[in-house]
Amino acid sequence: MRARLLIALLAMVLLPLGLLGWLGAWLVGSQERLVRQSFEELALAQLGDWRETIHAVVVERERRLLGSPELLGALRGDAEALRAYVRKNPLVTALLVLDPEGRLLHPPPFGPRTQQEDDFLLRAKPLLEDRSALVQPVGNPDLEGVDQGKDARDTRGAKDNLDTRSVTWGKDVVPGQQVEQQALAPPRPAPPAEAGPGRGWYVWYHGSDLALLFWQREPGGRVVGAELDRARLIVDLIGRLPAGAGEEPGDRPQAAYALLDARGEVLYRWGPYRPRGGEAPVARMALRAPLTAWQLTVYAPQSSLGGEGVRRTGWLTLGLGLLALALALGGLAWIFYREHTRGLRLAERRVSFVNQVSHELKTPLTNIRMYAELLAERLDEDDTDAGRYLGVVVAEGQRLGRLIDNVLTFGRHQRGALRLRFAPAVADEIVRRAVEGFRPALAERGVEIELALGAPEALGLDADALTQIVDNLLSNVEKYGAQGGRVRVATRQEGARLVLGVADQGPGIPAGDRERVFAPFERLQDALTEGVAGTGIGLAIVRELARLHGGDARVLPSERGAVFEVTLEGRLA
Amino acid sequence: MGVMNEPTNKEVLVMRNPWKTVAWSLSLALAFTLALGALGAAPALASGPAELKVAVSQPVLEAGKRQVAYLKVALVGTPLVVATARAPINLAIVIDRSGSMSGAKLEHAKDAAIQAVYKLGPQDIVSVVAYDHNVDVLLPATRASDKAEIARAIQRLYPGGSTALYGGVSRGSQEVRKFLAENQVNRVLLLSDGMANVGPSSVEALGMLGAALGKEGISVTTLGLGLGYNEDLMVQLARMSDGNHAFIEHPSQLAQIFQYEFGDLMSVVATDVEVQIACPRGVRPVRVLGRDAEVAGQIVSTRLSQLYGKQEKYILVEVEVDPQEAGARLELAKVAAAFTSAESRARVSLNSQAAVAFSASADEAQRSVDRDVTVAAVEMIANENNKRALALRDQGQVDQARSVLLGNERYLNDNAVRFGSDRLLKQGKMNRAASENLDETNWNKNRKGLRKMQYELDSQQSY
Repeated sequence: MRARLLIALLAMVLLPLGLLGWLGAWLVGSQERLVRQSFEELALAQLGDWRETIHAVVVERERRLLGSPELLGALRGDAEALRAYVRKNPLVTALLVLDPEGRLLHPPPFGPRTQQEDDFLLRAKPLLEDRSALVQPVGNPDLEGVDQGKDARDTRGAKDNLDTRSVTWGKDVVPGQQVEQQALAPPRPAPPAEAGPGRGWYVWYHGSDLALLFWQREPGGRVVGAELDRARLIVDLIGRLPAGAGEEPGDRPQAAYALLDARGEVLYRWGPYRPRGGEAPVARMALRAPLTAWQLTVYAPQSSLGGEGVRRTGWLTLGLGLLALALALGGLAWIFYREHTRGLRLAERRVSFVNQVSHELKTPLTNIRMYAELLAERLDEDDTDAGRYLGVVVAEGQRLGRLIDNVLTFGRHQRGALRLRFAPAVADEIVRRAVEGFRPALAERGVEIELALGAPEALGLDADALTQIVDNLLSNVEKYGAQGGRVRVATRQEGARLVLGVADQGPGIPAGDRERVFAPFERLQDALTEGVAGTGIGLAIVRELARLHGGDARVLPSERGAVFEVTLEGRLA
Repeated sequence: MGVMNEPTNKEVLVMRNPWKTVAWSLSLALAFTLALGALGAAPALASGPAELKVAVSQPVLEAGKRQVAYLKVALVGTPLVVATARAPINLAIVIDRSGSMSGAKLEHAKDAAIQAVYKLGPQDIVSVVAYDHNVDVLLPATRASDKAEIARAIQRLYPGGSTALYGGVSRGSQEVRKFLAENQVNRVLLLSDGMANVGPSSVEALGMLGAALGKEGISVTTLGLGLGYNEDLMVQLARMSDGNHAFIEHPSQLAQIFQYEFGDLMSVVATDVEVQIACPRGVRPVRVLGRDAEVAGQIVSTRLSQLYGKQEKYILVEVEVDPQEAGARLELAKVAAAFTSAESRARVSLNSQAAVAFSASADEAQRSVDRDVTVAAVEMIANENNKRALALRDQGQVDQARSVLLGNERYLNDNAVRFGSDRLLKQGKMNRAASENLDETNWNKNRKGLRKMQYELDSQQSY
């Protein structure tokens, strides 16, 4: 009883707690994902801006590299003029000139070359071995020239026509490993002449990083290429990208950004956060052609990612909420439990009070009954009035005794202390004696008793319990079934089983109430029962005692009156 | 344009045409057509801000033999008469504020920088960049008129994390580039005490950066502080951009070095210096000692970012001369130099040449040996040997390195005795000292000292 209560209370506290905890955890998790996602979106948008900034530098280079009057002047001169151009132009490390057939004009293939030019030729080996990238069969040189003129004026339009060749950096390439002059992707088929790849980027790997060459076909068919000074390009990119931590607005999440080269080495880094070595970036974005091998990355501490920070506050809030809820539910459960146990104790105290009182009543009652019976024996037979009075005293005494027995039996049952004492007895005798005891009272109510006894053999059963059963059933008849004028008490013996039937001719019990009558303190609210005194435990005791005997008590369906049938599983003597 | 002592031997071309390249080749052609053959070393050419001196190690060569001669092409800055006539300085001070700089180093660096800044004039431009793992512009390029403001920017320096040297120098150059002009001294002054570890960090990458900046006329002076920096990287950065380099063992020396550097900056008499040496047939340039130069067939070109007053900057060209008959004369080279004068802000061109005579007498040839040129050549050759010794020591071949250094000492001493040169004697001693300091103890420090010495000789640095 108590254990079940405790389990129920625990469930009352733990179930909502668990449910809310699970919901909360799910919420915190999705919050985290949301924060991370929005951070990534923000970071990507930011990287996109910077990518465009970098692209603008490259586009500007395209404009400044080729078609500048300085270069055009140098191209009209000799090798020394071209060298002077390279010496003076900080954007360029080398110039390459091919004739319309793709033959090398500069650096001079046979004439004297500078060390720098030799280095360049070595570097540009992949390009020189596959010049088809630069020298395409041109349909109409004049048309080509027109296109180029247009391109030169409109770099934005030309940008889309750029034939940019680049090699993706293989994942199997270990950084630090010398990847010299890695093979280029097979040249794409020449686009139709009207698109005319009159200019473009040629990108290849040399040493550890990219080499970039911007080339352009002159109207005469000569191809002029300028190798970009990578160091200067990086300097300019660094100049365009934000400096340090200072430019970071305060409400922006703590993050670090980096520009990485083809090997994934940092070229430049900025932002207030300091990533650990080997920390994986939150988001990355490759640059636009021709720098597709380079990328921009964002690093952020777990805390600004909705990691640590949001997670910590999320879990803290959730934890505190759950704790508060647990306290409230626990308190409620405790109050409930206390009230419940207090009620139980009160009820127990009442029952034990009633029991004690009943015990106290039993002794004087026994004396009253004993002396009343003694007095009746001494009484003159003639003194009818006195005899009658004494009869009433004895009958009422018996009634009171039964009442007290019922209360005590019920009390024992409540305490779980009700035990039977089996002893060999003849059921018929017990029944007859009990019926005889009732006869005066029933007779007074005008009820005629019909006895049909069929259990004459001795059985192991509790005689007192059987007496109490019969008493209670007859008392029930006396209270509710007396108007029928007849009661039939029958016994039947089937082996060790005793079947006792008590049928009256009274108003009977409605079919729906046949079980309810056995519940303690249940009295059928009926016009007939109005004004009838009763404790409401008699039939409950009948059933309990029958069940203790391994039998049962029930109401049989009948056309008229109430028909009780009690079965007792006796023990064969 | 100054006093012209020897009108027959020089042309002076003053050009204001911004298209120097075109003009440059024209002037070169002119020089060839107008040049007069002259015997032996051409006399000094005084021309305002600088003199062009061309000399041969041995003006008389033995006839009938293939021989090697050294051609010394020197530019000597004329000291500025009026201090205000100096070229404006456009300076970015780039300071390493990585964690290792904290304490005395950073405090000394701040003091030195502030002291130096107070020497600048209102026509100068200065910016301050500090870097650790990030790069911050503490003071964007600004006129050095409000020096207190600049000092405050420098005072804001606090030590931070790692060392983004590449980014720091890039940003410094970016600040200089904002006010880039030809007739001014464009300089990034880098002070670092540590290894670059964020961004490109190889000697090669920093050399490329130096070369790219040098092309724009931006020099990077690298000051290595303490024993933690990479001297190869710092030297390469300075070398490729024609800046100075110093090894500062103790922070208290910083103020002195800043004085030297600013002294150099303020004594600049010419900027954007181009030198071209053209050799005729029969004379083959083999190599250039000291400075970096471009050799294309018969033409040797080099450039300097600036010329300092009172200082001689030179390159030595080793040439192979074909055999000639006795009594023949051969022009060895025509030299053309062009630069922007700090005083007049005009482009100045100087031309000169060198020639040799051939004699049957070996004695006569020996007697003709030019002491100055030969000493310089010996110095440069010894310096190359010194570098070789360092490379050997780097490979762990300590004994070989020692024997190279000791051989070098003998070579220097012999020549010191022959030419009576204290300079060579002193270098002989330095080589001996180096040979005794090759073991692990203090090698880091000694190596930095050696690298500094080598660079000082190569670039004829004043300090």
